[in-house]
This record gives sequence, C-alpha cells and structure tokens, in this order.
Amino acid sequence: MIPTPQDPYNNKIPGANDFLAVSQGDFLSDFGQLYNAFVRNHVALDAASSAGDHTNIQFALQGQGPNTNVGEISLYSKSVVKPSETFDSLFLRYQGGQAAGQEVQMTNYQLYQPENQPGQTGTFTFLPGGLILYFGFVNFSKTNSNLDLKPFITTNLIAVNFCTKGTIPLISPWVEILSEQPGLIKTLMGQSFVENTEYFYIVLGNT
Amino acid sequence: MSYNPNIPQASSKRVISQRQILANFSGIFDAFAKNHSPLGNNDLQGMHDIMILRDQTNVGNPTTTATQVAIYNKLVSSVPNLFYRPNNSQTPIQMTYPSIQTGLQPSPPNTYFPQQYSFVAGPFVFYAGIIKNPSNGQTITLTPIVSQLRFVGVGVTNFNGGNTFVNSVVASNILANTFQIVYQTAPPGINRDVYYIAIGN
Repeated sequence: MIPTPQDPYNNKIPGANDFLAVSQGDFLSDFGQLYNAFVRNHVALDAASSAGDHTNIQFALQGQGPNTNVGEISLYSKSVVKPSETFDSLFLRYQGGQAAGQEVQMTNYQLYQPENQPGQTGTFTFLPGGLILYFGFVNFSKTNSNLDLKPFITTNLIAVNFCTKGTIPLISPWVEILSEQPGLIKTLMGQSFVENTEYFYIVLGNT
Repeated sequence: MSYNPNIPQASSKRVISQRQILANFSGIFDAFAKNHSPLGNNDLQGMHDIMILRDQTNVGNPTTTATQVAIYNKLVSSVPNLFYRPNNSQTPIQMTYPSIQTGLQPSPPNTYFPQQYSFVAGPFVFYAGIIKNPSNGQTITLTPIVSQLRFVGVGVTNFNGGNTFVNSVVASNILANTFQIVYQTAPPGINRDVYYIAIGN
C-alpha cells in the first residue's frame, strides 16, 4: 500500500528550474496520488497480477449524457425526475448518428417485493426505456376485483395479459382502469372473470 | 509530446528529462480524465463519470477467469451493442438491441406511443401495445422485424358488450413479425380494444 500523499496530483511538475530534491517530493506525491486514484474501481498498480482490470464501476451522477462517436456506446448515471419519484438510473447511449432513442434508461426504480394484496400475489421488474413490468397471479372475487399495480409509479398502461392458472381452460378476464389519479395509474378492475379462479397476469406500463 | 514509457534515460541530461517527465505527468492526467473524475480531486479521483466503450469486434471477446465477468462493446451488423461475458469465458450474451421505442411520442405532445418495444438480454425484442377496435381476423404487424415471435399474448379491454356476448380473443397465424386477432364471437356493433404482449428474437 502506498502512503497517502498530502498534496493533490500535480500535472505541472517538474519545473524547469527545480532541484532534484524538490522534484523527488513532487514525484512521490504524484505517484502516490496516481496509485490512490487508480486503485478506485481498478486492480491496484502494484497488484501481483491483473493491474488495470476494473473491479467495479462507480458512476458519478451526470447532468446529461455524453456524446458518442460512431462505433461507441456509453454507460452513465443520471437522475430521472417523475411526478411520483426522483431517482438515479443507469443510462445507455447509442453510437453517434443513431436516430430515435439515442438515450436509453436501463434501470428503473428500486426492486423489492411488494406487500401482497388480498387475492393477489405479484412482483415487478423493469425493462429498458423506463418500462415497468408487473406479473404474478390474481384471484378476483365478488368483494375484490381489483388488480393493484404496486409500486404506484405507472403513468401509462401499455398492455395487460391474463392466462388461467389451474387445470381448467377458461375465458380470460378483461380490465378497465379503475381510478386514475392525475398522472398515475394505481388499480385495474377485472371484468368477466370466473370467481375463485386464479389467473396469471402480466402488465406493462410506462413510469 | 505523447506519453513515453521509456523515459528518463540514464544518459539523458536533466533539462531533457524534465520536459519528458513533465509531458508524462501531463499525459497521464489527460488520459485519466477521460471517463474518470480527474486526478487532483482527492475525494472523487478514480471514480468514473461515464464509461464509453469502444468497438472490440476486432479484438475479440475478452477472456474471463473463474472469478471475472466482462462487459464490452461489439458490433452486430455494424451497430455497437453491449455484451456481457460470464466467468470462465462462457458464451457471450448480447444485452442490448440497436433500437428502442418507449414513452412519449413526438406528436401529439404528452401522448404515449400506443405500440412500444423494448429489449431484454438475448437479445429479445419485447413488444407491447393496444390495438383500437380491431376487426375479426385483423393482421397486426410488429416492428422492428424479428426472425421469429416466441410469445404472443392478447387480452381485451374497453369492451361494450356487457355479459351478453362471449368476450374471448386469441392470437392466431403467428409468423415472423405478424399475428392475427381472432374473436370467438364478433357480433356487429360490439367494440373492444385488444392489448398485446409479444416477444421475438
């Protein structure tokens, strides 16, 4: 391990008139800072093997995506500001010259297991492009024909699909958006379902 | 003066070496500033700002050991894509597709695309959308074109037939990038919209 130098890296040394006694301290400081900088996210310069390989990638938040040349793609992090939430996300930028969709939001919100609703067991994940994918199974009843879309961050419903879960083929239910708060879709209402029957569901939305 | 790993020479005069060493320290600073927080900022130096990946097609897939994985850029049909290689140099996985269409459309403003597509590793194209009141047997064409649809699911919404009619729909005649919407019953005057979710590669 290299001792931490006190002075920051200086790319202006050595000076033309510096004595070696001065330059030696400057060299030590720069080599030490270089070592310390490089060891972050990379295998250390003095490692027995693999010096220079990445160990992980920490992205400092960017205000906007970088420019890419033809043949290049880039990864970076940027804040996503939504009515429901502001969070940081990993972005991909296609090569320079790509047409629509140059900047792709690769991640979306944090993943967790939502608390199950009565008659509903589900979870969610995300797809590139700011999409959220809900899936699981639901059992509609006379008293509860709702399909909740937790977390409540969906701003637009793209598609819904049901399939009978069980041994008897049945007609799939259809849905209506039950209550749409301004800018958010929270709940779908099942229609034409068979009571006490479980259905697999998959719902895709924009966040 | 570009970076020179072979300086200083034992026989060089100090006035020569000073310029060479200065150039190397400056070159290291400039090179490191690409993609990284610059040297000199003790709190952040070394962390990445962005990661621009250059085409590695000619270099080939990187070798990974038992405890390594790699991500890199390789051209597919001349378009750069993100690849992931698992440990032990297992089969590389393409993580991205060259295009995507999600979210708001340019016109009219603040209106979402009724038909969108994204991608998942494979790569697979993940289509979803709504078809407004399609006719019985209507063919739906998905873009971008893929070689094969692996999954198509359809469902009904906005049905105005109440409980009088059987409201069932299937995806039929599934081809490379098309399928037909077929109803069990399609009486005149009954309207419904159809959601679809499809996956192709």
